[in-house]
Amino acid sequence: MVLQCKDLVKKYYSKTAVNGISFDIDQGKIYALLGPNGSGKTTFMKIAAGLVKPTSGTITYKGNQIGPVTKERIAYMSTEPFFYNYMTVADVGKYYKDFFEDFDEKRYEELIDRMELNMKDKSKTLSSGLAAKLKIAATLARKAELYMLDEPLNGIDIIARDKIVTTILEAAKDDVTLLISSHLVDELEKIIDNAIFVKNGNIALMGEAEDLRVKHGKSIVELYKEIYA
Amino acid sequence: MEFDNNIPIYIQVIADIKKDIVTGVIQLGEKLPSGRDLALKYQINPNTANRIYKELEGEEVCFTKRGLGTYVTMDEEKLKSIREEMAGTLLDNFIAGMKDLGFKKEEIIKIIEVKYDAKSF
Amino acid sequence: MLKLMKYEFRKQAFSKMVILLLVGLIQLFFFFGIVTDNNNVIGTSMGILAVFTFGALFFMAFEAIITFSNDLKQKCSYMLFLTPHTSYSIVGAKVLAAAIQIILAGIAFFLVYFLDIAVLVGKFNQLELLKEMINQFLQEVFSLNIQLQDIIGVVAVIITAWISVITVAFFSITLSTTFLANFKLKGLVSFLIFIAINYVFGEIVNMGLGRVYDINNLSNLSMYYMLESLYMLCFTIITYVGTSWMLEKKVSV
Repeated sequence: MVLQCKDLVKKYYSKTAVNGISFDIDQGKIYALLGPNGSGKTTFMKIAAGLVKPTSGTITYKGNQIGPVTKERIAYMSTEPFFYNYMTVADVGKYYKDFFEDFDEKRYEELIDRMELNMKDKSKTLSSGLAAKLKIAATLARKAELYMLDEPLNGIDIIARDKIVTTILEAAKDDVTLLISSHLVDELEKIIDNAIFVKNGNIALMGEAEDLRVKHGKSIVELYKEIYA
Repeated sequence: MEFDNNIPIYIQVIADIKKDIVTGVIQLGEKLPSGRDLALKYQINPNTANRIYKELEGEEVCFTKRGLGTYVTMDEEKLKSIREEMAGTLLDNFIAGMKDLGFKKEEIIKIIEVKYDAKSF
Repeated sequence: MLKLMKYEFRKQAFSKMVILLLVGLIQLFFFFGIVTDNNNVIGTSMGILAVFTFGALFFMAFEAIITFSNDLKQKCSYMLFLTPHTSYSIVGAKVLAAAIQIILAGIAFFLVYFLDIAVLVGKFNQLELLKEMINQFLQEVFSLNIQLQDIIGVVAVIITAWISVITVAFFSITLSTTFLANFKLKGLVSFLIFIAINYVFGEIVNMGLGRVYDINNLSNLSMYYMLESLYMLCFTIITYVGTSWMLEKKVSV
């Protein structure tokens, strides 16, 4: 188990985003965090990334409280672009190199090439598709232990999706864990080991994808439709 | 490759590899990609890729040389039996479908002969 | 920490360039007046420079506060809070960066004024007179220690007070995004808190130093300045620690 959380709650002014989630994540597997917008996926990831403190409950990564130590090993990518406006693609790489020891510059250059980005491009002026690719390149150029990707296929056209999926799969190794959220369940179906269905800040269903398919006699896509219909 | 979400992915990939072996795209004795590369090729989960090789080894379609990788069997007989097995599956589905439509054995044979000659396969 | 500071400077670099450019333009205007012997131009440019100095210093404090606010409220906050640093380092880098910028800007403006005054003195008096004045100035400074202390004291008070205003603002903004995050009107509340804290700090200085300051006895003026700077430094440390602590406990970006 790498990530463990127990009775995790996050309340905001008008609503409860995460409502008592408890689960563990095992090393070396690819997890899908599934659910419609507003189900609590993003808030959960932000808690694990250390961007939001839970209202109550506990969360640890390999026994450590979320903090500088875990931030060194967990790479989080948010749905929205988050780079400073002044930054070029090259600046983003320098920033990551300055702050993350596991950042691999060579890999970054390679991914920037693959994504057909230019080092001189300003992050502010990128189209939404290219901005999404830049986030993926920067995040996956880290040699992190746990990657949390929030909607990595958002804004990516169908042609480029294969590239993104390949890049994500290249990061998967025996000692590397991935947690990917998406509402494009179809795209995740074939690459995941485990699925976690989140509904109204709680877990509706979770388990190994293959077990779920056998047990319910349905694909993950069909299960998704059934749970959120 | 397009996947059918209603059939387990490993079964679909196994069928695809077997087809490649039967049609000669993959030669007997040829080295297969590593589990990771197989995952990238089909864009599937790496653990699923490892499972696929385990299943293929169980069926003796391929074997693992320690530290070298996974290879397709050298056994010609195995190739024949895979070919027959795949043909059998197709035929079973075909015959079951035709039966559902109310065709008799003789009708089916006749219709195959007519169709086969009419189309230049 | 140094890397965090580097990016704090980088975020606010553009406005510093603009300020530098504008000062350059004012200086060009000033020297144009000197060369063409146009007293109107000289006077106007000096006036603009004086107003601009205050404007620029205010803007720098304002920018430090706005940058902090953006780093808590906009999406780029992820960039900052994903770095493997504690809130104490992150806020500390911001406070130090703000302090260094204000001190550097102070020195830069001082040098500009010094240059302009020297040029003016040189132009309207003979060169000999200028030399004499500089000598006299240096003599006075070194013979009358009190004066030098007073100057240092005033500068210290201005700088520490300025920095403490910035950290009080950091504190108020952080309060509104952490412990007050679930309140309506949190923006207004945090502004009122900002005013209130500054008022309370002012009262503390009055209470603590009222006895020291005696208008009839100017000899202890420098002592007063030093003590006031110390108070300001304490306020800065208190609000800095408070800000970092709140972020450590309740960060929500």
